[in-house]
Amino acid sequence: MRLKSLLAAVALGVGLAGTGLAAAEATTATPKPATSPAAPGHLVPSRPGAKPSRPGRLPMAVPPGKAIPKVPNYTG
Amino acid sequence: MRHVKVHTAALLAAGLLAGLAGLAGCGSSSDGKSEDGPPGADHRAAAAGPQQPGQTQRRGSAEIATVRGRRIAVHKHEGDSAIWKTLSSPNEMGATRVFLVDAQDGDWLKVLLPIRPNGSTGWVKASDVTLSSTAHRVEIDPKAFKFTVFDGDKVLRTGKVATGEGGTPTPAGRFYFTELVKPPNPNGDYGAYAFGLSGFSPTLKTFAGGPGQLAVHGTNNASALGGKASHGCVRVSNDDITWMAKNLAIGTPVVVKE
Repeated sequence: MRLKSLLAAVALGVGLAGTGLAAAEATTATPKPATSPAAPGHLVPSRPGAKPSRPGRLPMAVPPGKAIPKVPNYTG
Repeated sequence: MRHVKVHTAALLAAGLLAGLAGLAGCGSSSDGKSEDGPPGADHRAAAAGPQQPGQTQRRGSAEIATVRGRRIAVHKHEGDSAIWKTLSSPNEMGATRVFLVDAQDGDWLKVLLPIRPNGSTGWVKASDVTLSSTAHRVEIDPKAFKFTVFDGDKVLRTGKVATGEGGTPTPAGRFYFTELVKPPNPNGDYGAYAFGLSGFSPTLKTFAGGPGQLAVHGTNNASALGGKASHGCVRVSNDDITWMAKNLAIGTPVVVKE
């Protein structure tokens, strides 16, 4: 009788703890990427259908590799 | 029997406590930091009003807007349905049109325009441009006849300049590189390369068939560097302009000090 009650109590306790941990894990799980992910470093739209309104980290501008061959007409 | 009941009650209590502890973990992230706001808080902050570029980038960087199509509509005020100006791309020198971004508000960008008067700004739609950034900037000190190229706070290169003579001064202001030109004769007046600037001479409305546009360029007269010698352009040595051509992007900010 004692043994059965002890085992039942332990099983119930372990079950409750497991349920709590599972619920906690479910709510803190890593979010999955959206179906159409924004470019890295860019904020996603704040409302459905909107375009990204604010880049978070922009790609660095590429240094010019090619100059335009031309006679300049600057003020000199 | 009484013992059994006590033990059972104690174990049930322990189990319940463990379960509650597990549930309590829902409110905290795994690294122990609590969530400060609802998801998307950053988005709302970004859309709250005009922001100076660079707030969400690394310190000292500037945003460059490159025109996507063959022309771009510029509006005088944010959200205007009326088009104020239409600018072509490529620009008059044959380079893809770029702007230096002054501020951003949602889908609109306030940009520095390469038109007279110097310092003119307008608004373009963010969807009409591609944004990039640079941490480089050039400062011209006309009093010291010196240029300095920065990467953020770090000085990359300094050198001598020649600026405009009395009747054709180099105006102070905030500009940016609009194009890079390679003159056919590297031993000519413009030296090895010339970066067009978004600013114009305050006194010359036209020059050599052009609109009096300023530039940073090389020279075939290095001995004039360190003084006032030009018609408004900023002259640097051919070594310096060649280095700039290899390291600085179109759209890089250029500040000419007072």
